[in-house]
Amino acid sequence: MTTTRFSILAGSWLALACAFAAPAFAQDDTLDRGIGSEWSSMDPHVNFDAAAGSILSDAYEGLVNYNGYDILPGAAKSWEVSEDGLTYTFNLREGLVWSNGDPLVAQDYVDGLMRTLLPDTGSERGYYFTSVVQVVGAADIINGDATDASGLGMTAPDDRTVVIQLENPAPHVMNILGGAFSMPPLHSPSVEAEGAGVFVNPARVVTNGAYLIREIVPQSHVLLERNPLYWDAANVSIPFVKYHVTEDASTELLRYQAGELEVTYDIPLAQMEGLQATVPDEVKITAGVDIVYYSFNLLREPFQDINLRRALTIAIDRETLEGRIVRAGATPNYSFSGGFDPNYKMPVFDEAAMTQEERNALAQELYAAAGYGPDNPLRITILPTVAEESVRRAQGIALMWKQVLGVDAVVEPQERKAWLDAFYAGTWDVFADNLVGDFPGPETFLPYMRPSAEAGYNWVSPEYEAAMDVASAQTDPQARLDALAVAEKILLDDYIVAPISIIPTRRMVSPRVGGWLESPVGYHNSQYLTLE
Amino acid sequence: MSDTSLAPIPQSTLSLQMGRFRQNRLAMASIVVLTAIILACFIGPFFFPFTGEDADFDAINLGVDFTSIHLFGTDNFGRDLLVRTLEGGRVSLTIGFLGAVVAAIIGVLYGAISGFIGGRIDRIMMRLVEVLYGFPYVILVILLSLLFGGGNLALFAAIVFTLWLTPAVIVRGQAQSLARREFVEAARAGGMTDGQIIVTHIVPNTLSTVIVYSSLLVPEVILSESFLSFLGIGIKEPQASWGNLIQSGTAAMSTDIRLLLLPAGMLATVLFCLNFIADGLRDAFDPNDR
Repeated sequence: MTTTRFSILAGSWLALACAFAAPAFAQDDTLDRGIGSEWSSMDPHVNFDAAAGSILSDAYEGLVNYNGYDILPGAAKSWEVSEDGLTYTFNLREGLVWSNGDPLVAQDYVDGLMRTLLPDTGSERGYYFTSVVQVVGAADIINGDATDASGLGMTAPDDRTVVIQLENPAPHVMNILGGAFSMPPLHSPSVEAEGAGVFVNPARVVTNGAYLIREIVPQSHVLLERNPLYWDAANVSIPFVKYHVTEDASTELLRYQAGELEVTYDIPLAQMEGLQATVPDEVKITAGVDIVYYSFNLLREPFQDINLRRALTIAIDRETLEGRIVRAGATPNYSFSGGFDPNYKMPVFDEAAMTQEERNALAQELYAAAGYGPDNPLRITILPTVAEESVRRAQGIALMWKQVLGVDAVVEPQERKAWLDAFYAGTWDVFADNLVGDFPGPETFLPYMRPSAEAGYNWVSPEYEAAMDVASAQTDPQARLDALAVAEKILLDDYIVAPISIIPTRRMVSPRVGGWLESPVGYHNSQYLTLE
Repeated sequence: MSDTSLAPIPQSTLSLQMGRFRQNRLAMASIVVLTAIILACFIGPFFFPFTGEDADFDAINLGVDFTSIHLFGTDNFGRDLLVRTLEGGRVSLTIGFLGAVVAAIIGVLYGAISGFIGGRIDRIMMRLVEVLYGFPYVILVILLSLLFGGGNLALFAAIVFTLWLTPAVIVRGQAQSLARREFVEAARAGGMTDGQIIVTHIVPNTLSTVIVYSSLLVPEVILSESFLSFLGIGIKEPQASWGNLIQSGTAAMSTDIRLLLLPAGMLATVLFCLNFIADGLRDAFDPNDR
């Protein structure tokens, strides 16, 4: 609460100061968008946070752009795919420049990928290029076996051409290759001169997207201004975009209703029904590619017992949880990847066919088999973010574990940044995890669970790695999906995570905002929007 | 001729003070209300077939219905609101009274020692108090709860740690003036040690101030506890306290005010009662100050 109040004060104060300083900053030219909690990183090659990703997608441009379901030409005006599906050639536009006037060349995109892959950068996103798609040579750089781009399958034969070579064909590749979230370019001179700090310094940061970064005020806002040097600047209609931090969804809604925001990041659960009845056109609920699952800390002794993990997984009544407790429009999920692709024969965990009563009875047996009981209850903590939905889901699950098994679970909500840090520090028993996909299909999630891609789970499973390798070598789409299903079953059978639900994106969008398209992965670049 | 009928009946100071206190109607009414709330909090939940942590997923978000078992309805998880509020009251009241007593004991002893001994020791002890006063309260609480690993004990320690300072300063002033009085000189001449003098002469003579101040301390502690739980650094779910009940009530403020009103109403009533009682005590114990 303190932070929220502070940010409103700071925000209005700055707005006031700006109004006096430059008339151009007048409120009516500004699209005010909520992003919920504070961005976790403004470094485009490091950031792994979807909320910050929407700021960065405005500020940086990849080879292609996304709007709704469409893939649009970005910095590349066209691209070709080779016969075997392994080589992608992007042709860049003429006359592209960075925001400081430097020419933008193909090599900048190669440098951007290099920065993401190099271990020194500390990016969590390198796995995109070894697991989700396999760029030739990317694994060597991540592992530290190679330190330069000579072996990398992304090259710039001339200033206007980017060539990407893959180990295996991947039908979903265009959703990863070239987007601003996964492959932003790098302006080497500024980063070499000032290090990673340049990305949070609005005076020095150099961008290439439709917007320039004007102000970064921690816990308050990021202000963007239209980039006059952007190749498509003539079609960018909104001069200023301001992303506001509002930790609490109810406060965010109040700001929206007061006209301070035109787009929110979330809708408070308690008010959803009321809003849908009174302003149905402003409530935008989209089935998102966003899964929630609870991860068990395999380094802590109780969770090394598969009986316990299984008991906890099946003791959750997902229908009651989502339908009656959380009531956020989420769909219960009994598989990991959620089956966004209709051709995917989605595996589910073995107990999914049972009724909840049967599951509870089995869970009690397994719990006892793991050595716990009324006299010796399991005591654990659950780490969700402070978002209302996430806290309520965690409390509901804690109550179900208490009711069915007698587990004493304490819910300790963390701010998003602290929550992410805690995951890598391993200071949790049960982590209220979620993963936002880049495209609707199982392959956006499953590669992330490879032990080699995400070490944070401390999962040892050569079987899963092998099964994923089999899948990624398949060229036929259906055979690939079938092989992925085999891998997913291995993941589910080990119960290292308890799948919970698939969550939608919920936004309030003001009628003043035009061009808002439904997007399953949540791409809503400001350059495609209009403001009346 | 006997004048016994005219002589005043000898009365102790305490009974005079109590007599004055009993005439304060507001304070007496507050005692009745407060006792009722305390009894309800500690005994009430036993009359229900469930506890505040038992969720009934078939009875989520029931409204107020005095004919059903859930008198004030249930919360988002199907837990009985009244029972949770009463159980939360247990936690808040226990921490409030225990915290005030412990803070007062520490403060009185510290202040009495400092004021009675005087000199360099007094200066060092009082500078320490001033240094502790200088710490920002919330940051101190966060640090202490990290140190104690969270939980009720950490919260209790953190509250006591910050609230014993004021009684210490007040008692120290009293002890300083008492230390120069003749009866203390006499006790010293009679061979009592400093420790004995502090316990038998100094502390009892500061008691009326301490009682008045402690009675003001109780609502302060309760408010601190609720405030910290409201911010999420105090009592954690699923355990209830008035602070975290009010916090979850504010989230539903515009749709279901009942969740906020019951715990907030209880908290406000208790705080009013305690303040009226403290006022009454001060008027009774210190008639010159009226």
